[in-house]
Amino acid sequence: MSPIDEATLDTDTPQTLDGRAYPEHLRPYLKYDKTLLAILVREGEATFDELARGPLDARVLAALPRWLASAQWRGLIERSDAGTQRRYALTQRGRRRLRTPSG
Amino acid sequence: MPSGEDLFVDGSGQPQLTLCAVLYVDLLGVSALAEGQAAQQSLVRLERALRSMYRDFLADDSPWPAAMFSDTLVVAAPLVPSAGKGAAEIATGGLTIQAAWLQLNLVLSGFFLRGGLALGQFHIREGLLFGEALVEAYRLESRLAVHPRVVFGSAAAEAQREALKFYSEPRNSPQNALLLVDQDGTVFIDYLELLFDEPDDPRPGLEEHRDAVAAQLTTHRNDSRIWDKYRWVADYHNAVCERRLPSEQYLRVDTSGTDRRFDALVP
Repeated sequence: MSPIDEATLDTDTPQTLDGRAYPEHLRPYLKYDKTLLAILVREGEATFDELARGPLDARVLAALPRWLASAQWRGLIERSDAGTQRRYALTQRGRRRLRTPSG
Repeated sequence: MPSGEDLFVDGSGQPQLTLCAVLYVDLLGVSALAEGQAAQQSLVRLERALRSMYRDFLADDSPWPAAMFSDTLVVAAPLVPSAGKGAAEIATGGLTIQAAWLQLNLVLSGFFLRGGLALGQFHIREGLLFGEALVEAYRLESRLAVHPRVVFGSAAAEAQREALKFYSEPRNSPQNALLLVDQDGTVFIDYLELLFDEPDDPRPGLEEHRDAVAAQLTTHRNDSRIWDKYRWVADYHNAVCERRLPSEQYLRVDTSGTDRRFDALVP
């Protein structure tokens, strides 16, 4: 279950239900939304290793771990820890983000 | 980017050196575990820590080629020429996050480690490892790290400092959120910071880490050389808690486990 306060999801600084705020150092990763959300649309659901096989540009590949963190804060993707490795899947919010011109 | 190993052969199939960021890691106490009665269980635990949760660090087709032998793990991030002037920062930064993931996963599985991260010429392919960056990373691990920390060589640290110039607020840069400078001036990876990267509650991870450190302090109470290493981890853990969750004292490693004990000659 996501610990994000839904009411803060469309703000600049999403917050968790216990009041922790979106980390400032994750802001530079917003620019990778379009590239990485598109890959998740293609893959449906993927582990980090599956996403990293891309193929991805070196800069995007290096940014991937922290983009995944940033996207979780913003409700664009959801993470499942049920299997051996974590799996990531696009949310409806992520799909909408991909359709916006700046997405 | 295809498998990282592709950059280590030239057009005629000859092995070649490539500029890389190289991580050299020594898993502490693994030799003793390999010889211990619970060796089989230790092997399963180690394999799980290396291949599960975040990613499979030993995957053959990884963009970060890796090799492991005994208690030593080497992981490389080749500099990609198309990345231009930022190639060193990208490779070093990317490998730093990989190293932090690796260290956090291993430590929370009970495997503490010491390592070095260097930048320079390197070759890794089909089990053959060679190059100046490997030598430097090994020296960093064996001579400079001392404590269970992953320390940076001068070129690797410089690549990260160069990257700070591109941020209007370097304090809030990704680099500043994953690296710390120790009191000896050494730059090392602040792997506990990863617990604050995602929206999950960081407290369960900090509690696991606290308990893992406390267990090592208790186990090695009578061996000052090893005990000092875990005392350093306790100091690091408590510094992170003080900075991030200062009012939550219960998250800290109990000082009765970290204080030196001085007994009378005749009790």
